[in-house]
Amino acid sequence: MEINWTRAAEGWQRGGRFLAAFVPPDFTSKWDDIAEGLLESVTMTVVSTVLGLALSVPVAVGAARNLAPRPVYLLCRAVLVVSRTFQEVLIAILFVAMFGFGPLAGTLTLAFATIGFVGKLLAEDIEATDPAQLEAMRATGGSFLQGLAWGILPQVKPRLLGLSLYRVDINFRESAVLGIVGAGGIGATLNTSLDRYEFDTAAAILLLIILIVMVCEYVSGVIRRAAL
Amino acid sequence: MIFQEYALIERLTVMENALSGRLGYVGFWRSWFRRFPTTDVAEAFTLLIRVGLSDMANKRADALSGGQRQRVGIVRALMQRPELLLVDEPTASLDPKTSRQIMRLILELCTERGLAAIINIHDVALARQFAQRIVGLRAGVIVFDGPPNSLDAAALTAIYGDEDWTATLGHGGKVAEDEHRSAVPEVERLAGLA
Amino acid sequence: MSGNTEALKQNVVWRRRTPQGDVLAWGAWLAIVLATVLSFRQISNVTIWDFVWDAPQQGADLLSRAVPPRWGYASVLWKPLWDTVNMATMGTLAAVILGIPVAVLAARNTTPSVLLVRPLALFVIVASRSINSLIWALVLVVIIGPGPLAGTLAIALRSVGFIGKLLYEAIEEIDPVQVEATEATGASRAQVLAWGIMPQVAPAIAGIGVFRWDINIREATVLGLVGAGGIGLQLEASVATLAWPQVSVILLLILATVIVSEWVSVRVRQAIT
Repeated sequence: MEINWTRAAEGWQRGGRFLAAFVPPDFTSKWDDIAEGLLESVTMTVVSTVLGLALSVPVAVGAARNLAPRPVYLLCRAVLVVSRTFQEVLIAILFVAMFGFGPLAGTLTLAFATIGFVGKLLAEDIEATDPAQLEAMRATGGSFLQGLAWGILPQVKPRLLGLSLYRVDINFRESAVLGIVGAGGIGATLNTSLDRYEFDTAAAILLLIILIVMVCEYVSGVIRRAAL
Repeated sequence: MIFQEYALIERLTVMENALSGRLGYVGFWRSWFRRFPTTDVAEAFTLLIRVGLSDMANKRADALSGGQRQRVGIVRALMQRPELLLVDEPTASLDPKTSRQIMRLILELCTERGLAAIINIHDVALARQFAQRIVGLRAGVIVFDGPPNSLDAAALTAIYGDEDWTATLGHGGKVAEDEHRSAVPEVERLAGLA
Repeated sequence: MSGNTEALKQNVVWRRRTPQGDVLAWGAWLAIVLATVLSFRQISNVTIWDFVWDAPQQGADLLSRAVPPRWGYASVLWKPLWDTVNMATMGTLAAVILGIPVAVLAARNTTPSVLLVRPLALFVIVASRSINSLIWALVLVVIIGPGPLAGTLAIALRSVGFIGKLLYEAIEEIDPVQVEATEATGASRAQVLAWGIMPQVAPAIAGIGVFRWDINIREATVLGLVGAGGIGLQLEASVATLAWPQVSVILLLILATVIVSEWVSVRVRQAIT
């Protein structure tokens, strides 16, 4: 790794001046752009989390060794590996190329990433369930789906809820980056403000992201305590 | 089917566990939304009253004691309206008193309903006390078949192998608790109530 | 018995939840559906659906142009790939060094002040965790100029919060008896930290560090997109010039690197615990 230390040293001085430009944060002059970007990030978060969860549950069942036949297991595991290997931004680049610029590409990216995250951890939880409960449900004559709903779901429900809430958090944070490659969200606004040297606006955006993540963490803590 | 270690759905309520016995007769979505036919719910209530759990219906299964859990297991099995009850070591993790209560309950319910039960059990004293017919298996071969009082030391040796059986067969209830499991793992005893 | 049964049959109500519980549960589901539908309409309004219906063809087209990968291009990628790994490693190392004091200040049982210092440390953790490393890189490239140093610092800034959070939770779960025993010898605060607490969380530090390193390898692959060094720079250039056979080489190389790093991470963590 080549680091030009003289340049870095000059950078620190320059950096000090840049850093000073970040304060005080300016919420007002670009507020319309900021609000639009944040709203887009929130909508992307909602749709991608719901879509991603809806898809990750069947994938997790398929990727659980104790439920799925071998070919299905391998296929679902492959989906999980691909989804988890590539950073969201890389997927977003491909999706933007396919679906065009805008929040839809970002939403699909986040949904795809959700599958990898929730799918893998949920599959591990399913594999750790008590097999006697599933066996008892099948013994009462229940179908495969009833076995899942009665023998497996009650056992993995707390984990599923926890993962879902955590993923809402992650999806919001990630939605703030995807704008850099044109996939919508607050990231685009942030990128623009940095390009135009409007550092006070950028600082405002960063603070708002931190604030929303804090609120998210607090709310998910409340829901988790209420539900369990 | 009544299971060893209960095999209840621990995080669901007693009533849901009882109703799960009807899963084979109810469509997926009805079971998902817990919309069981009223006759099923009525039957579940009746059975819960019968086994003495009527005020536990909305408690979660993991909040119950071992004996209570096995009662829920019995209710779930009876909810299927079986013609034959399969019982796998129903007392494996229960204390001696609760074990007797559970065995007596199974016996009573079978008599009430004219039901046959096949019980797989290693507790010789319990089998002698409650079963009407005992079948001893060793490595899958029947080595004893007869009424409980004809089960003697020779028969036990044939089933389990050499051991001092006098205390086990003693007068009344003096049973050494650590005797239950046989030294030979493939040995199985079957006690039939007919 | 039978009379009892008859009475029950007339009047059997059993519900999974209380009526209020039912309303609450259905309300929650309704809210989720409503939020999803409204959000989707918002997204749909700014989407050009013709492009979307075109996506399968676009995807097939992309794939046909990306295959076969231009393997010769790999020769110029080794250096940036090495930079990427280095950025992740150095950034993680810096984050561990910075994260330990932050965690000590944030843990309820080691913080000097629950009222003053702890909230501050917790804010540092949340702030660091909330901002993606790519955004940190974006800001840092502006401040200290493009290059791997910006990338390394971006990785470090993002990881401090992650390491700090997991580590302070680990510190809060330590065995207090060992701490008391150390205190009973008359040790100073710093000595208690070094003798009573650190030995207990040392495996956690190593485990968390390796775990984060594995994540950082992934993160580092894209930092080049904003000029912060590493293989992302080549990716950016290749995508910009529509050189898809090069893109596929880069993606395959990233795939291999990430799989290797995950394997290393799992093995190391298994060895520790």
